[in-house]
Amino acid sequence: MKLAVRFFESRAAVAGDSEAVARRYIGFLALAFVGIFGLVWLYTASLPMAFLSRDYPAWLAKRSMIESCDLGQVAVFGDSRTMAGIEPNLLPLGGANLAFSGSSPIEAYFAVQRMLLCKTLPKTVVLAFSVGGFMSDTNYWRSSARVGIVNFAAMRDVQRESRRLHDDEMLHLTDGEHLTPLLSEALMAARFPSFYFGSLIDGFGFGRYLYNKRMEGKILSARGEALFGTDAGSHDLASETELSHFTPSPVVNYYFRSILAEMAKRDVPVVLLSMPINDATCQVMDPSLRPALLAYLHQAIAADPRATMVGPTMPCWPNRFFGDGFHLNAAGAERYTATVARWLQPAEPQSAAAAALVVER
Amino acid sequence: MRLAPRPRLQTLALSLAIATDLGVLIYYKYMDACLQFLTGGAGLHGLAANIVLPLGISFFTFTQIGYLIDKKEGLVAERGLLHYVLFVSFFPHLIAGPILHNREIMPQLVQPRTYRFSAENLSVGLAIFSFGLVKKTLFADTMMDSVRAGFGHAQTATFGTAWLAILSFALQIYFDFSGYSDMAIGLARMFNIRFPMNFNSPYKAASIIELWQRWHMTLSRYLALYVYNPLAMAITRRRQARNLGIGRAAQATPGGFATMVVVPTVFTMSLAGIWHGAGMQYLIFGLIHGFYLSVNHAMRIFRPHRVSAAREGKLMHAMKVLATFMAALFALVFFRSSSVGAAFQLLGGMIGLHGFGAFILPGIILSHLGATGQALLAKGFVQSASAIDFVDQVCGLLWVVILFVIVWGFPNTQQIMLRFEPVLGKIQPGPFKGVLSWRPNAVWACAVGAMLCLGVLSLGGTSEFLYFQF
Repeated sequence: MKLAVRFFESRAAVAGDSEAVARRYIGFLALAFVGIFGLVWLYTASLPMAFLSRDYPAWLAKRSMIESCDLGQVAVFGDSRTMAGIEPNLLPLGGANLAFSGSSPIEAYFAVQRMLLCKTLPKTVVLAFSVGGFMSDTNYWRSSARVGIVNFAAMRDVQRESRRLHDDEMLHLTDGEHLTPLLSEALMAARFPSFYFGSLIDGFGFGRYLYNKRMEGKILSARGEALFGTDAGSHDLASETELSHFTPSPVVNYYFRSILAEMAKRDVPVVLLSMPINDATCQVMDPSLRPALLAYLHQAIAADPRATMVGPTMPCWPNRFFGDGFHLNAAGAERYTATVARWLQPAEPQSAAAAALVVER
Repeated sequence: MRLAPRPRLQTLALSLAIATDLGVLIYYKYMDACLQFLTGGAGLHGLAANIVLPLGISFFTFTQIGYLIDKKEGLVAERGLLHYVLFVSFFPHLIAGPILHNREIMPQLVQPRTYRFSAENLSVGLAIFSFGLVKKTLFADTMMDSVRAGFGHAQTATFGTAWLAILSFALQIYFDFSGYSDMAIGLARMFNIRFPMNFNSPYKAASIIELWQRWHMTLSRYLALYVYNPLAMAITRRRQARNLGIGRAAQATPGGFATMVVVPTVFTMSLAGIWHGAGMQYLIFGLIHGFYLSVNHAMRIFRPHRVSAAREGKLMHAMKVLATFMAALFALVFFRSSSVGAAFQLLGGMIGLHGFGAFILPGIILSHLGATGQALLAKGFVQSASAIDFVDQVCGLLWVVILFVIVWGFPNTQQIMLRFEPVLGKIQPGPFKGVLSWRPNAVWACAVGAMLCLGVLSLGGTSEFLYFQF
């Protein structure tokens, strides 16, 4: 550095010209900017494990299960409620929890696409999304694109379908990042460091590496399940209380039906579940949500005899089974998994035992 | 100019031109608020909902009005249409000022050298711009969450939350405005134009008068030139016509003080308040500052003898700075709140009406505290939380402290750039002038490069979306 300073100043002094000094300064500044920015970009692109939140190792764990086709007999797709509430290790049939926090059927569709590359598919696919997950995908840019659940090709696909359906929710980044869709997708796919600055700060640059590595192993051994809230009970209100009506998003609806179609094409039975919500939320929630969601799901599976809905829609469970306003705690997850295991017990959903357990169809 | 021999017609033309400018401003900026007020909050959605505020309308309107008045007074030397249009629409000042005066800028626009590339001005401008970018994206924007937490839930904000919110907002608005001003000055300098100083470490002010001499300096100057002075002059003439005194002695009488100082001050500051936004809370913000300034003037006029700033001790000076800051903080509550009611709710939180809140401590520290920890827990002064939440809270508080250290202990951008005359007007040197003095060398190139890099990195937002805390 000292050498650079001496070189810089001696040359400038000889020149004795403020314009020449300034030109050299600008060159050096440009070099410094490109160098520092390049290093940061290299870092964000090559070592996301060191600074991204737990979502990243969770996705790595699930991706590794999908790519190694280590899915067992039941593959579960859904959002964070599903991720926390279904423990594949407790399912007698064995399986994999491929649900992802904040995700909607859009992310699930692309995970299913990866799964379809496997020679042997799971015997049953379970889909369990919250009512809000059918209405929008607010975490698409904030989480799924940043973490890498949707890659460049998937993002292009979402843009195309959004345009076709005139659904502009996915056309632009949130938070005022007004970039053109192609540019934003390319930058996301290339892990442009500006999108990760918040994580870099919160993760103290490299402070999450060991934790994330541990989490990856833990989630893998739990077959994709991971808890969120860990309280011994919660009466916090979930986001359902903020909804006054149910209106499915066209683009989310498209991908949801695409999953059903893909499974039907391959003759894989699909089971639709609705994750429990706490009593506190049930008491405040708009009563029109439940029948509206039920009608929507019925309509979606009407033409597919291999798809079934089991269990009640948006069942209300005591607050003590929740670790926070949204997610089941360990006791809740264990209880719910046992219930799901009973529902899934028969090999064929159409069997008599299954029919007895099908509450709504 | 052609109307100069016919003063009445000239005044009429000027009034019409100003009315047109103000009409456009009122239509775009205040129409919605006026309709809301007149219809009791319902508004007329069809009429006002589609009005899109043109970028920088307040700034170019005020610039144009100032130009018109100066032109009538015969103070405008340069009259070319091209230069006038460039002066009004020169982009760096349109978002957050400074409010330009034709006498400062127009002479620069007629200089041929203004239109030639200057590497020196580009390097100076880039340095100033990068300071501003970091202030805006890294300092101001990181305050957003704690500001929202307090002001967004003013009705339940506890003592701790309310104070953190208002202190964070004081930092947010300071670095936001200072950052925008720096970026405007830097951008202009890249185009060989020097802007007037607009922000001069206002929280270092030891009185409210000084605060307004340091905060949005060009707005203060504009209001003094085109509102306060004409009003004060009219009052003086009126008193003169009634054979009432107009000198210093007359100002020191209650009646003279009220008419010659309080009336123009409060009126001017009310306008300043409304200029910042449409809403009663902005008017109250202006009135509070009008009151502060009146009290400050009263202390200046009625106090028998004053101690000069040089003679007063450092402690006394620090106390004055703190008192001024606290007074400004009180007014800022109204400035930031969504309504007058919300402002009072937050003030209630600041005096503990909604409880005092609990400091979160991790279990490991609580267990070390033993019985004391349990007692604090039982009384609700502390709350048990994970180590990560605790670190998060401590880092947040530490960041606020660091930013206040920067505000009060470090030189401002103009002081750092002092050797290269960054702005029009005189700049007092600041602390650390040996070390923190910019020059075009390798060390500063790296530092500015790093700052620009930080600025660009933080454009994607400084807050992370977290479903699960670490």
